[in-house]
Amino acid sequence: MRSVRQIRRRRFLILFLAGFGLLLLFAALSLRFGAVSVSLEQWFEQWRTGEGIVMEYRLPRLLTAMLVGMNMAVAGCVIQGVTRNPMAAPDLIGLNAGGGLVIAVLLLAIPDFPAYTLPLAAFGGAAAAGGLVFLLAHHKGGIAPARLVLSGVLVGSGLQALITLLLVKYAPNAAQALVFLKGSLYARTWLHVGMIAPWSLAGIPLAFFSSRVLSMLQLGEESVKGLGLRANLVRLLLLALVVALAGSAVAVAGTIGFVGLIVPHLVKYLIGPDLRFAIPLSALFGALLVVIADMAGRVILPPAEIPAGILTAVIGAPYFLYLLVLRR
Amino acid sequence: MATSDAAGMNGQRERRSVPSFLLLAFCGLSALLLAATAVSLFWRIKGLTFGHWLELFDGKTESLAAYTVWDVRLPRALLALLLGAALAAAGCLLQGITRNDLADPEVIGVNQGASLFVVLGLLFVDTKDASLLILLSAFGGALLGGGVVYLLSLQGRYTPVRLVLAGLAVSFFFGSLTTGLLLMREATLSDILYWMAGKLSGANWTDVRIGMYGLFPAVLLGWLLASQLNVLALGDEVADGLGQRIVFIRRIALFMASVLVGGSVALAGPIGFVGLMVPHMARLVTGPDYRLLIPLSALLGADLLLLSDLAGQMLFYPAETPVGIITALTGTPFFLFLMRRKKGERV
Repeated sequence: MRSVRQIRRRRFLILFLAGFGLLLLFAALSLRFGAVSVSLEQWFEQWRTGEGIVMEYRLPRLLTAMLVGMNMAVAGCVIQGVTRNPMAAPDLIGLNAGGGLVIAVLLLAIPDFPAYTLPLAAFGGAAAAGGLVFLLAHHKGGIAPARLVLSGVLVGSGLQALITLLLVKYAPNAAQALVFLKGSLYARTWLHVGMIAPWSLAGIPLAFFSSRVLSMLQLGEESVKGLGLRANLVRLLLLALVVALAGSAVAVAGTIGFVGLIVPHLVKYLIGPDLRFAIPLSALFGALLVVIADMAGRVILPPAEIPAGILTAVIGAPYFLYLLVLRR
Repeated sequence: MATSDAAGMNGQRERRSVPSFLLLAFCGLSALLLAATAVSLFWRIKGLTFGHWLELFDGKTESLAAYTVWDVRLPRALLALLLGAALAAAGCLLQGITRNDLADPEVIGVNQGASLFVVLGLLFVDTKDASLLILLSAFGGALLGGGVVYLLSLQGRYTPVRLVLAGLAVSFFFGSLTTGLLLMREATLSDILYWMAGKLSGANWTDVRIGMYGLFPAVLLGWLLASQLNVLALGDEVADGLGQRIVFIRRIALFMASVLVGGSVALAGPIGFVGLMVPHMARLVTGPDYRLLIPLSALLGADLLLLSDLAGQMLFYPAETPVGIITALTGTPFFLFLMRRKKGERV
C-alpha cells in the first residue's frame, strides 16, 4: 500500500518536472518564433528594456495562453469529478457558448465596456447556460452522461447560432467574427492577462484544496451521506468554481475547445485517478497544450494565423469520438 | 423492437381515419405553400400597385418590378421550395437508415463534410466552372460525412443519443478544418462565411434548374425506397428474414441522401435541422409509414424552408439573415425537446 503510494508520488514528481520542462521549452520557443523572427541578442535587449515585440506582444500572449489552458483543464477535471461523467467538459456542456454570447452582446452593444467586468459577464452567461443544460439533462432524479453532453452541445450550437446572427448583422468584418468564434489568442495584451489572472490564481488553488472532497464525491450517494458531507451544497460550490474558471477563460480567448476534455483524460491515464495529483498536473499540461497549439498556429503558415481553438478541436474531436465509440 | 411494433399497431388503429385527414394535410400544406410563395414574390416591392400587378403577367419583362419578381424573387422562392423538399426527404432517409429519429444532415456531419470539400475544392482547384466544382465536391463531402456515420451506425450497439454525439464529433472535426482552411485565405473569407451560414439570396435560374433536374428526381427515387425503409424499420433480423438485401438498401438510401444533401449544400450552403424537424411533424399526421411520410415531408419541408427564408428577410429588414441561422435557432430547441421526450429510452 505504502509502496504504491510512494511510486505514485515519484511518478507525479517525474511528470511534473517533465511537464514543467516542456512548458519552459515551448514558452521560450513561442517567444522566439512568430511572423517576425527575433534574434537572441534582441531578445535579451528587449527583456532588459521591457520594450519591443517580445515584451509587448508575445509575452502577454504566452501568459494568456497558459492561464486559459490551466483554467480549462482544471475546470474539466473538476466537472468530470462532480458529474462523474468522463465526457463532461466546460465547452461540451455549453458554458463557453453561454459566456461567449453574453460577451458578444456586450462588445457589440457597449464598445467601451470596462475590461475587468468581462469575466464577470462571462461568468453570468456561462452559469445561465450551464443551469439550462443541467435542467434539460436532468431526468428521473439522475443525469445520464451522454444526455448531459448532448444537451450541452445542442444548447451550445443554438447559442452559437445566436452569436453568428449577431456577428453577421453587426460585426465590422468577417475575419474578426470568425476568430472570435473559434477561440484565438491573437493580439492579447497585458490587459487580458490582468483580466484572467485573478480568477486563475484564486480558482486553481481552490480546486486543488477541494480535491479531497471531490474524491469523496466519487464514492456514490450512500457513502457520501455516510461521511457527513452536504453533497448538494458541495456540488453546487464546485460547479460555481468550474463556471468561474471557464467563464474567465472565455472572456479573454473565446472558445478553445476540447482542452477540458483531453487534458484530464491524459493526466489520469498517466497518474491514475487520484485528484490531488491529477489537478495540478492538469493545470500544467493544459497550459502546455494551449501554448503548443497557439505556437503551431502561428508557425505553420505565416503570416496567416490559425486560431489555437481550431488546432485543439482538430485533436480533440477525434478523441471525443474515440471516447464515445471504443470505450464503454 | 418493441417501439416499432407499437408504432405499427398504432398505424393500424389509425388507418381508417387516415386518408381524409391526410388529404386535408396535403391540401392545407399546398395552400400554405402557394400563399407563402405569393408573399415572397410580391412582398415589399416599391411602387407595385394593383394596376402594375396585372401587368406583371402580361409577359412584359422590361420594368424593374417585373425583373424583381421574375428574375430575383421567383428563383429564390423556387430554390427554397426545392431545397426544403430535398432536405426533408434526406432527413427521412437518414432517419430510416440509422433507425434513429434524431438523425439530421447537420447533426451527423453530412453538412460539414460537404462544406469542407467545397472549401477545399475552391481553394486548391483552379477552374473556371466553379459551380460544377462546388456541386461535385459538395456531393463527395456529403458522401464522406454520411459514410462515416453509416459505418458508426453499423456497429449497432449505440443508443440514438450516442450515435448523434458521434456524428457531432465528426461535425466538429470537419467544421474546424474548414474554418482553418478559410482563415489561410482571408481574401474570399466573408463571401464563404456568409455561404457557410446557409443562404438563399442570389439564387438564379441556373440554380433552380440544377435543383429541378438533380434534386427533384432524387426525392422521387427516395420515395421509391419507402417500402424498403418500412421493412428496414422492423429490425435487421426481421428484414433479413423477409429476404431484404439490407446492406444494399442501406447503401442506396445513403447514396440518395448524400445526393440530396450535397446538392443543397452546393446550391445554398449548409442548412441544418430541416431534415430533423420536418419528418417529426409529418409523422404526427402519417404515422411511421415511409410511403406517406416521404411525400408529406417533402411538402412540409418546402413550406418550412420558404417560411424560414421569408422570416430571415423580414427579421432585420433591409439586412438579411441567412436562412441557416433561422433554421438553427428553431431547430435546436426542437431537438432538445425531442431528446427530453425520449423518456423511456436509456441513453
